[in-house]
Amino acid sequence: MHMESDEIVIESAVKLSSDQLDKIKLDVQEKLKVDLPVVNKLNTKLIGGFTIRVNDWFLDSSLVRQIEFIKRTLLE
Amino acid sequence: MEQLGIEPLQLITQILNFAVLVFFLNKYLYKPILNTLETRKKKIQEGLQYADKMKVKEEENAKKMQDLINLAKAEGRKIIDQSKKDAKDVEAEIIAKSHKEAQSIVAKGRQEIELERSEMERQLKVKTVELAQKWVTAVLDNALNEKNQMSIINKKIQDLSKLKNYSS
Repeated sequence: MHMESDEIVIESAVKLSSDQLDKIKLDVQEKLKVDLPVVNKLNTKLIGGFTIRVNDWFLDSSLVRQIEFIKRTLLE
Repeated sequence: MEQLGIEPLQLITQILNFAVLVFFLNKYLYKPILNTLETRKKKIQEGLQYADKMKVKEEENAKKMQDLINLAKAEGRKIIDQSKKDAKDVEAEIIAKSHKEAQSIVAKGRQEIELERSEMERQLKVKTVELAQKWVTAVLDNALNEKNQMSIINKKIQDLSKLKNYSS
Protein backbone atom coordinates (compact mmCIF):
# COMPACT_ATOMS: atom_id res chain seq x y z
CA MET A 1 0.00 0.00 0.00
CA HIS A 2 1.49 3.30 -1.04
CA MET A 3 0.24 6.64 0.27
CA GLU A 4 1.34 10.24 -0.13
CA SER A 5 1.26 11.68 3.40
CA ASP A 6 3.41 13.76 5.71
CA GLU A 7 2.56 12.25 9.04
CA ILE A 8 0.57 9.77 11.05
CA VAL A 9 -1.93 11.82 13.07
CA ILE A 10 -3.10 10.19 16.27
CA GLU A 11 -5.86 11.96 18.20
CA SER A 12 -6.59 10.98 21.79
CA ALA A 13 -8.42 12.30 24.86
CA VAL A 14 -5.20 12.27 26.86
CA LYS A 15 -1.59 12.64 25.80
CA LEU A 16 -0.06 9.30 24.77
CA SER A 17 3.29 8.11 26.06
CA SER A 18 6.20 7.73 23.62
CA ASP A 19 5.99 3.99 24.10
CA GLN A 20 2.31 3.95 23.09
CA LEU A 21 3.02 6.18 20.08
CA ASP A 22 5.86 3.92 18.98
CA LYS A 23 3.67 0.85 19.18
CA ILE A 24 0.96 2.48 17.10
CA LYS A 25 3.49 3.78 14.57
CA LEU A 26 5.06 0.36 14.26
CA ASP A 27 1.67 -1.21 13.69
CA VAL A 28 0.70 1.37 11.06
CA GLN A 29 4.05 1.05 9.27
CA GLU A 30 3.71 -2.69 9.15
CA LYS A 31 0.14 -2.77 7.87
CA LEU A 32 0.01 0.31 5.64
CA LYS A 33 3.61 0.07 4.46
CA VAL A 34 4.40 3.70 5.24
CA ASP A 35 7.29 5.30 7.08
CA LEU A 36 6.06 8.63 8.47
CA PRO A 37 6.49 10.65 11.65
CA VAL A 38 3.81 10.40 14.31
CA VAL A 39 1.91 13.41 15.68
CA ASN A 40 -0.29 13.19 18.79
CA LYS A 41 -3.18 15.65 19.01
CA LEU A 42 -5.51 16.04 21.98
CA ASN A 43 -9.24 15.69 21.41
CA THR A 44 -11.30 15.45 24.60
CA LYS A 45 -14.45 14.74 22.59
CA LEU A 46 -13.16 11.21 22.03
CA ILE A 47 -13.64 10.51 25.80
CA GLY A 48 -11.21 7.59 25.58
CA GLY A 49 -9.18 5.59 23.09
CA PHE A 50 -7.74 7.19 19.95
CA THR A 51 -8.09 7.74 16.19
CA ILE A 52 -5.41 7.33 13.51
CA ARG A 53 -5.37 9.30 10.27
CA VAL A 54 -2.87 8.80 7.46
CA ASN A 55 -3.85 10.96 4.56
CA ASP A 56 -7.31 9.64 3.45
CA TRP A 57 -7.11 6.52 5.53
CA PHE A 58 -8.79 6.73 8.93
CA LEU A 59 -9.21 4.35 11.87
CA ASP A 60 -11.49 5.19 14.80
CA SER A 61 -10.75 3.33 18.01
CA SER A 62 -12.31 5.86 20.37
CA LEU A 63 -14.94 5.38 23.09
CA VAL A 64 -17.18 7.92 21.31
CA ARG A 65 -17.31 5.60 18.30
CA GLN A 66 -18.08 2.63 20.51
CA ILE A 67 -20.90 4.48 22.23
CA GLU A 68 -22.22 5.60 18.83
CA PHE A 69 -22.07 1.98 17.61
CA ILE A 70 -24.05 0.81 20.66
CA LYS A 71 -26.57 3.60 20.05
CA ARG A 72 -27.09 2.57 16.40
CA THR A 73 -27.44 -1.09 17.38
CA LEU A 74 -30.09 -0.19 19.93
CA LEU A 75 -32.01 1.93 17.39
CA GLU A 76 -32.00 -0.69 14.64
CA MET B 1 -190.67 -8.25 -43.75
CA GLU B 2 -192.86 -5.50 -44.85
CA GLN B 3 -194.92 -6.14 -41.74
CA LEU B 4 -191.78 -5.57 -39.75
CA GLY B 5 -191.25 -2.29 -41.64
CA ILE B 6 -188.20 -3.48 -43.55
CA GLU B 7 -187.99 -2.69 -47.21
CA PRO B 8 -186.24 -5.51 -49.08
CA LEU B 9 -184.83 -3.13 -51.64
CA GLN B 10 -183.64 -0.83 -49.01
CA LEU B 11 -182.11 -3.74 -47.14
CA ILE B 12 -180.34 -4.94 -50.22
CA THR B 13 -179.11 -1.43 -50.88
CA GLN B 14 -177.95 -1.20 -47.32
CA ILE B 15 -176.16 -4.52 -47.64
CA LEU B 16 -174.54 -3.45 -50.88
CA ASN B 17 -173.55 -0.16 -49.33
CA PHE B 18 -172.09 -1.97 -46.38
CA ALA B 19 -170.24 -4.40 -48.62
CA VAL B 20 -168.89 -1.56 -50.70
CA LEU B 21 -167.91 0.24 -47.50
CA VAL B 22 -166.19 -2.88 -46.14
CA PHE B 23 -164.41 -3.35 -49.48
CA PHE B 24 -163.13 0.21 -49.56
CA LEU B 25 -162.32 0.25 -45.91
CA ASN B 26 -160.47 -3.01 -46.28
CA LYS B 27 -158.60 -1.83 -49.33
CA TYR B 28 -157.79 1.76 -48.47
CA LEU B 29 -157.77 1.86 -44.66
CA TYR B 30 -157.29 -1.47 -42.92
CA LYS B 31 -154.55 -2.80 -45.14
CA PRO B 32 -152.38 0.34 -45.01
CA ILE B 33 -152.93 0.49 -41.25
CA LEU B 34 -152.11 -3.18 -40.91
CA ASN B 35 -149.08 -2.74 -43.15
CA THR B 36 -148.03 0.26 -41.09
CA LEU B 37 -148.57 -1.69 -37.89
CA GLU B 38 -146.64 -4.65 -39.32
CA THR B 39 -143.80 -2.39 -40.41
CA ARG B 40 -143.79 -0.70 -37.03
CA LYS B 41 -143.86 -4.07 -35.28
CA LYS B 42 -140.99 -5.22 -37.45
CA LYS B 43 -139.03 -2.03 -36.66
CA ILE B 44 -139.73 -2.43 -32.97
CA GLN B 45 -138.55 -6.05 -33.13
CA GLU B 46 -135.45 -4.95 -35.01
CA GLY B 47 -134.97 -2.22 -32.44
CA LEU B 48 -135.35 -4.71 -29.63
CA GLN B 49 -132.97 -7.10 -31.35
CA TYR B 50 -130.55 -4.21 -31.84
CA ALA B 51 -130.97 -3.22 -28.23
CA ASP B 52 -130.31 -6.81 -27.14
CA LYS B 53 -127.33 -6.93 -29.40
CA MET B 54 -126.12 -3.62 -28.01
CA LYS B 55 -126.70 -4.84 -24.49
CA VAL B 56 -124.61 -7.94 -25.17
CA LYS B 57 -121.97 -5.77 -26.79
CA GLU B 58 -122.09 -3.36 -23.87
CA GLU B 59 -121.72 -6.24 -21.46
CA GLU B 60 -118.80 -7.51 -23.50
CA ASN B 61 -117.30 -4.02 -23.50
CA ALA B 62 -117.89 -3.71 -19.77
CA LYS B 63 -116.23 -7.07 -19.27
CA LYS B 64 -113.33 -6.04 -21.47
CA MET B 65 -113.05 -2.77 -19.56
CA GLN B 66 -113.14 -4.63 -16.24
CA ASP B 67 -110.49 -7.00 -17.56
CA LEU B 68 -108.40 -4.02 -18.60
CA ILE B 69 -108.92 -2.39 -15.20
CA ASN B 70 -107.96 -5.65 -13.48
CA LEU B 71 -104.95 -5.97 -15.74
CA ALA B 72 -103.99 -2.35 -15.05
CA LYS B 73 -104.44 -2.93 -11.32
CA ALA B 74 -102.32 -6.08 -11.52
CA GLU B 75 -99.66 -4.21 -13.51
CA GLY B 76 -99.86 -1.35 -11.02
CA ARG B 77 -99.46 -3.76 -8.10
CA LYS B 78 -96.58 -5.44 -9.90
CA ILE B 79 -94.91 -2.06 -10.50
CA ILE B 80 -95.48 -1.05 -6.86
CA ASP B 81 -94.12 -4.39 -5.61
CA GLN B 82 -91.12 -4.08 -7.92
CA SER B 83 -90.59 -0.48 -6.79
CA LYS B 84 -90.77 -1.58 -3.15
CA LYS B 85 -88.31 -4.38 -3.87
CA ASP B 86 -86.03 -1.96 -5.74
CA ALA B 87 -86.28 0.51 -2.87
CA LYS B 88 -85.42 -2.25 -0.39
CA ASP B 89 -82.50 -3.34 -2.56
CA VAL B 90 -81.26 0.25 -2.80
CA GLU B 91 -81.74 0.67 0.94
CA ALA B 92 -79.82 -2.56 1.61
CA GLU B 93 -77.11 -1.46 -0.81
CA ILE B 94 -76.82 1.96 0.86
CA ILE B 95 -76.69 0.35 4.31
CA ALA B 96 -74.07 -2.15 3.15
CA LYS B 97 -72.05 0.64 1.53
CA SER B 98 -72.31 2.80 4.66
CA HIS B 99 -71.33 -0.16 6.82
CA LYS B 100 -68.35 -0.84 4.57
CA GLU B 101 -67.33 2.84 4.63
CA ALA B 102 -67.70 2.92 8.41
CA GLN B 103 -65.54 -0.19 8.71
CA SER B 104 -63.01 1.38 6.36
CA ILE B 105 -62.96 4.59 8.42
CA VAL B 106 -62.55 2.60 11.63
CA ALA B 107 -59.80 0.46 10.08
CA LYS B 108 -58.08 3.58 8.74
CA GLY B 109 -58.40 5.24 12.15
CA ARG B 110 -56.94 2.18 13.84
CA GLN B 111 -54.14 2.08 11.30
CA GLU B 112 -53.40 5.77 11.87
CA ILE B 113 -53.47 5.27 15.64
CA GLU B 114 -51.16 2.26 15.26
CA LEU B 115 -48.81 4.27 13.03
CA GLU B 116 -48.89 7.16 15.47
CA ARG B 117 -48.23 4.78 18.36
CA SER B 118 -45.33 3.18 16.47
CA GLU B 119 -43.91 6.59 15.63
CA MET B 120 -44.25 7.70 19.26
CA GLU B 121 -42.56 4.49 20.41
CA ARG B 122 -39.78 5.05 17.88
CA GLN B 123 -39.31 8.65 18.98
CA LEU B 124 -39.36 7.57 22.62
CA LYS B 125 -36.76 4.91 21.87
CA VAL B 126 -34.59 7.46 20.02
CA LYS B 127 -34.92 9.95 22.89
CA THR B 128 -34.18 7.25 25.46
CA VAL B 129 -31.11 6.01 23.60
CA GLU B 130 -29.90 9.56 22.98
CA LEU B 131 -30.38 10.33 26.65
CA ALA B 132 -28.54 7.13 27.61
CA GLN B 133 -25.73 8.08 25.21
CA LYS B 134 -25.41 11.53 26.79
CA TRP B 135 -25.54 10.02 30.24
CA VAL B 136 -22.90 7.37 29.44
CA THR B 137 -20.72 10.00 27.76
CA ALA B 138 -21.00 12.31 30.75
CA VAL B 139 -20.34 9.52 33.25
CA LEU B 140 -17.31 8.24 31.33
CA ASP B 141 -16.03 11.76 30.85
CA ASN B 142 -16.03 12.32 34.60
CA ALA B 143 -15.16 8.80 35.75
CA LEU B 144 -12.16 8.09 33.53
CA ASN B 145 -8.95 9.14 35.23
CA GLU B 146 -5.46 9.09 33.75
CA LYS B 147 -4.87 5.49 34.80
CA ASN B 148 -8.13 4.30 33.23
CA GLN B 149 -7.41 6.23 30.05
CA MET B 150 -4.01 4.61 29.71
CA SER B 151 -5.43 1.20 30.41
CA ILE B 152 -8.04 1.66 27.66
CA ILE B 153 -5.49 2.93 25.18
CA ASN B 154 -3.10 0.06 25.91
CA LYS B 155 -5.91 -2.43 25.45
CA LYS B 156 -6.84 -0.87 22.10
CA ILE B 157 -3.21 -0.86 20.94
CA GLN B 158 -3.04 -4.51 21.89
CA ASP B 159 -6.27 -5.19 19.91
CA LEU B 160 -4.86 -3.36 16.89
CA SER B 161 -1.69 -5.41 16.92
CA LYS B 162 -3.72 -8.61 16.84
CA LEU B 163 -5.32 -7.66 13.51
CA LYS B 164 -3.71 -9.02 10.34
CA ASN B 165 -4.72 -5.85 8.54
CA TYR B 166 -6.98 -2.89 9.30
CA SER B 167 -9.79 -3.97 7.04
CA SER B 168 -10.51 -7.10 9.13
